[in-house]
Formats: sequence, structure tokens, C-alpha cells
Amino acid sequence: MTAAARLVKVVVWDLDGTLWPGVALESAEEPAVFPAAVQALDALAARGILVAVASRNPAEVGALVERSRQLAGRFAAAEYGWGRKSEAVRRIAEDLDVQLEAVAFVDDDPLERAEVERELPQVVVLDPQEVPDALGWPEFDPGPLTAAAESRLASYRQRESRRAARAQFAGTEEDFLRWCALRATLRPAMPADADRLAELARRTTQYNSTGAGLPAAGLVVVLELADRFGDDGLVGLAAVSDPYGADWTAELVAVSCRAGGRGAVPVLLTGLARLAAARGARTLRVPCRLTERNVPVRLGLKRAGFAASSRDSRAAVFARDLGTPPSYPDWVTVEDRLNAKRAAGAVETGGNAGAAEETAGNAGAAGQTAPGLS
Amino acid sequence: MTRTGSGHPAGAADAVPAILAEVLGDPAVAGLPPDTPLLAGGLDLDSVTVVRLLAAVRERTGVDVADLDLDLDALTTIGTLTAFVAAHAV
Repeated sequence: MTAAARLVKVVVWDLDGTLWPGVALESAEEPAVFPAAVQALDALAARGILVAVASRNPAEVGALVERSRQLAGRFAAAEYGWGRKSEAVRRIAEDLDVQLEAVAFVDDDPLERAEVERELPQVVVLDPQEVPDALGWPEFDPGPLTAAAESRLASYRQRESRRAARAQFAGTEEDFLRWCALRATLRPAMPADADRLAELARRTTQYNSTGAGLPAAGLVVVLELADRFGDDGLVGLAAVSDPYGADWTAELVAVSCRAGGRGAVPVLLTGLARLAAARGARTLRVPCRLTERNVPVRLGLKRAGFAASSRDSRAAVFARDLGTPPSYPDWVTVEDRLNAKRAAGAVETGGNAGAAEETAGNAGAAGQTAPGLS
Repeated sequence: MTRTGSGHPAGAADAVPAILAEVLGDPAVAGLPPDTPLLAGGLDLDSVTVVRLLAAVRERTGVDVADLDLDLDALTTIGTLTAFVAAHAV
């Protein structure tokens, strides 16, 4: 339980007896949150660690949470209702796209703790009394906080608004993206992106091709996304260690789950394919692990015109012919700064593209610091 | 890992609509026509749901779609997934 290599990314809290005393729905008064719990929530927020709620109360208790001055707006996910706490924790991990190893669970009830411990041995299970001490453990110390991590909670809440709008929207997914006024920017990575790139490589699972760290050198293409609900900033990367010759291989494609569901993978790979084609490449390859968890990235590859070309026991290589460079989908407005000066489809090697390599190479070097966590 | 569903070794393919209904928490899904798309323009399954569906199919039928179907063509419609599972169930 105290292995130093792992990092907790989400802390799931019980409500009654854990965040506040007693059974809130049976009380006439608004619950008074334990001061120690507020301190812990503040400490977690300052470290960019998400918090979520798993309560056996019916969903009405959510209104109490949102009315509470100390709790409103803090939680990235909530699971209410009867049913096992282990299932609630599992759903929260899936929803926030984190591994169970990156989840901690806090509950005052020893039976609930035992159930989660038994069903999900990967999860860090804590008595509320242990929390102040646990905050000093290495698994609760994520290191320097990036701007993206600071705004992660805001972004999850933005995603909730988008989901609510989608549920009301009568039309196809593509019509919805158009209505959202989805805008994508593709550009070479810059040195200032290094922390965010390392974080994307480390944190993503569903939309991560290989789980490898960033290559130490070469070209890194990044994707930024925004729409009417807000600006997500840098949400995706594709790294090519050897961006020369007729065959390009993207050793790592990683996209945040907040963006993956909005067509980010096809847009990113279309941008990379167009750049590769413009530089004279004939084929773009993307090796990909064959796990269930990263099926979403493979569906994105398929949408971008890639098909499997070879496999071994654990991975396959997906390839796309660049004879006809792909066009961007019509449900997104793309600002392509990779290839800005070139006519579409023009074949040109060397020249001013060198600038992209140089800056991307610097950012790539910082990727070496990324620990080997997926 | 190759557990077969509740005493119906020959019924692996039949299990797909039921598994889908269970994962979506909507019994009506089991009665949808086989040509219903699973993704865009049909059930619009999101990424988390796709991952859960494939895990449930693997646990119940022993067919690991993520590993066997490289291009994931099986995830086109309810019918293509059913047929893929039928073809690969042991």
C-alpha cells in the first residue's frame, strides 16, 4: 500500500460520517463539513489531485453537496445509490480514465473499506483519521503542478455541461460537434510544453497508443482544442523520432480522454499525415498495444484511415498510405500551423520545416523525465 | 479468462445483445435490429462503454475482440459483433 512508484490521481470520498457527521438526509439542518476534511480537500486541490464522491445515499444528497459552501464545485465525479462501493469506485475510475492503482478511497465504515480492499486490492483504502498522515506519503505528491493540472477540475465540470447539452441535442455526433463550434490547432511542440507533454504521456490510457515515454528526439506534433464550452488547451500529442524518409512511425500518440471523445485522434493523425506527406513520406505507421483499455485510440486510428499491417503477440502496427493526403473532417475548424506556408499536397523536403524539428526536439528531451507509468 | 456464459457453451453469440443491454443498463437494447450501428449514427457508445462492453464480452464468451480484431470491424453493428463472437467462440 505504500509502494513509492505509484501516484494517486483521484481520491473518492464517502459522505456520511466521513466528510460530515451523521446522516445528512435524516437531519433537518445542512451538514457541517468536518474542518479536517476541508483541509484535506484543499490540500488535494492544490496538488491537482481530483476528488470524487461515492455515497450510498440517493442522488438527492448531491443537492446538499452542491449547496454546501465548503464542498460545492469540488468534485469531478459522483456515484450515488445502493450498490457496492467497489463498483462505484470502479465506475469513477473509468469515467475519469485513471487506473485503479491511481485511486484512493476514504470511508469511515470499516465494512465498506474492507469490501473495497477485497474487491479492488489496487486501491489505496483509508480511514478518514489516516488522511492527514497519508497526505505526506509519496503517492500523494505529484510534483510540480502544471497549468493544465490546475484547470483539470474546471475542465471536468465543463465536460459535464457538454454532456448535458449532448443529451438534449437531437442530431448526430458530428452535428453536435459542429454546433459546439469545435476548433482545433495543430502545431509543433515548444519547449514550454514539456511538462504538459510528459503529463499526457503518463496519465492517458484509453487514448494512448503504446504507453511508452516520449522519444528523446525528433518531432512532436501537438493538438489544442476549444469549443463553445471552453478552451481545453493542449490535449494531444503525436511523436515521431525519425521524421525523415518515406516511412514515418509515430512511436507515441496520446490524447486526453476529455478530448478523445470529440474526434481528437482523427484530427491529430490527419495533421501528422498531411505534414508527413508534405515532407515526402509515403507511409505513416502507428504501433499500438492490443489492450482492451486502449481500444478507443484504435477506433480513432480507423477513423483517420489507418488499417492494421502487422502484429506480434501484444502489439500491432497500423499504417496509412499517404498517396492521397487526408483532409480534415468537416465537423471541426482546423488551424494547421504545421504546414501553414505550403499548398495542400505539395511535396517538399527540408527547408523551413527545420524550425518545427528543432523546437519539438527540445520538448522531446524533457519527455525523458516521464516515469514509465501509463 | 475463457469462462463461458452460464451453462450455454453454444450460445456465445446469442449472449451479445444481452451483454450489450446489461452494459447500457437498458433491457430494450437487446431487441434492437442487428444492423443498428454501435458507434456513430446508432447507439453512439462512448469510449468508456466500448471498453466495458468488450471486457464483458470477453468474460462471458471467452472471445477477446480487442486482441483478435485488429481493425475493430466487429464494432460496426450489433450484428457484426454477434457474428464475430460466434465465429471465434470455442
